[in-house]
Amino acid sequence: MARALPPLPLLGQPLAGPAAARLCQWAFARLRRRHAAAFDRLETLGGKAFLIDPSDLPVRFLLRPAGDNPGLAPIAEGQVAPPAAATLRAPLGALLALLEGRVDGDSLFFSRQLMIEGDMEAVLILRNAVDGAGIQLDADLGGSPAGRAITGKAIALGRRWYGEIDGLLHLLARAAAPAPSLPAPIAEFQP
Amino acid sequence: MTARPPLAASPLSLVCPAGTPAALDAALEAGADAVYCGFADATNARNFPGLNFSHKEMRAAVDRTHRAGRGLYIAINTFPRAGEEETWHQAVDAAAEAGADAVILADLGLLSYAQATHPALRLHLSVQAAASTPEAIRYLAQAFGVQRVVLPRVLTLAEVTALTAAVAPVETEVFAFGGMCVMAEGRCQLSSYVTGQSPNTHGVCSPPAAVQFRREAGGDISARLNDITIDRHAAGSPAGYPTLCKGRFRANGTTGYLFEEPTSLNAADHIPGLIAGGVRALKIEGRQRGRAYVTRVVGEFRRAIDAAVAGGFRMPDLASEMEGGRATAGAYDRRWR
Repeated sequence: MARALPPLPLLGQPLAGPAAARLCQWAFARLRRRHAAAFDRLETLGGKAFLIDPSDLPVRFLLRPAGDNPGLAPIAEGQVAPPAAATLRAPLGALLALLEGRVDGDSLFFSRQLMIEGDMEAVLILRNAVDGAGIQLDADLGGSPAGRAITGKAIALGRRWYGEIDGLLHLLARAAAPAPSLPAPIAEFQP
Repeated sequence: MTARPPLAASPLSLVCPAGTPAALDAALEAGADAVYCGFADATNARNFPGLNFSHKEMRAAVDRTHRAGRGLYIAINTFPRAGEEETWHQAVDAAAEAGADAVILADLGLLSYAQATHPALRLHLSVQAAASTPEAIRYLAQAFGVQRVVLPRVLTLAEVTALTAAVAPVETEVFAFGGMCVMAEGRCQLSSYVTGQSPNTHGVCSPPAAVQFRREAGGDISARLNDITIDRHAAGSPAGYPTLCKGRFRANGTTGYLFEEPTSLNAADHIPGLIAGGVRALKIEGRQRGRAYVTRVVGEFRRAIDAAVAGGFRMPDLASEMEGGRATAGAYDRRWR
């Protein structure tokens, strides 16, 4: 999906500034504290990093779940991303759904909504740990009742906006797409 | 958690996959009669990174499953590697200690070990054993006390019915939904041919460490297995698992799926026939899938079985969960030999 959607002000360019970096690090630390068992499963990754690329946002995120320097950092559009073991690219709504275990990663992969490049072993470790974690962003990131309400509203807004728009565009794209054909020849099979 | 009647109440038991404790809870919540899991090592055929249960997690899983009035089976369905039998023996011991309702085994030596060491432990024969004749199944029942056999995915509905009658009181269990293999259960060498590791002895087909996706010039996505290109898709076209059996190759002047197409089995249409044929259990494939898949597929099959038992029938809509976005009834209604 092209970067065709207007970014929400909350998630646009300013997200890559110092305040956004602190926000990401706070959210990461909070998830790590609340889902310690899942993060324990991720220790096997060592210091491997993942580039999380919401295909409908002008920002990416570098996620390093374990190792000596764990964290989540935003990367603004145009900024060069540090090296990562793997890249996961999907619309924001799909990534949020994956994070919360509301959608199956293989199903996203089969429909090509989720693109993966790089270290597949690391990706599977991440996917399986996250899927089993029971993450619920609005509950996990709300500190006080007021904070919970604000965070919950922001997440619900983003989820609804991007989820609905992406779903609609996806349906339209599929309807408009020509029937899939076999690709160009591939390597000769040599038994 | 919703209370459901115990296993014996349903004429067709719904056996569901769980690759993680969260997926197990999802399966129980969605209406599984029994759940099957594996230990986090090469003793089971879904030995993927980050998947499966530690011994401690398995004990807790058995407790939760029994509190919900359902059954838990432990798949120890790979073949012990020479000189490393101890790992597989320990898995059987751990399953018995955890209180599993059955172990799902394929190897004759392991069946013998389980029977001799844990005579009270119920034995199910894995699909990996590829037992598909009355003689083979009767022998395994007599020799090792096998009480249920998971049938290979090569049989028509008529063959399943005849076999079920012929091997009674041994129970039969058949696959109803999920990934397909090339129907050489337990004997497939494709993965080990390219990667050195196979589902039979390492528990992993196309190990993820050997898989690579790459965006080619022009936008196509290529799938590579141990540096061999096995498929190339236009971006956005439906995909399957990056296994050699579902790759596309040029052979005899044409390019296409040489072994099989990426398609999911969906035998929901045959639920009334399977009940009438005396089949004891229906199996959902997919311990490698997430809990959203488990919730969706198990829930749909629960409703379909309950409706069939009540005399009605409803066909589940599960297109979004299918490999390649397509379904097949597989061999159940095949017309080829």
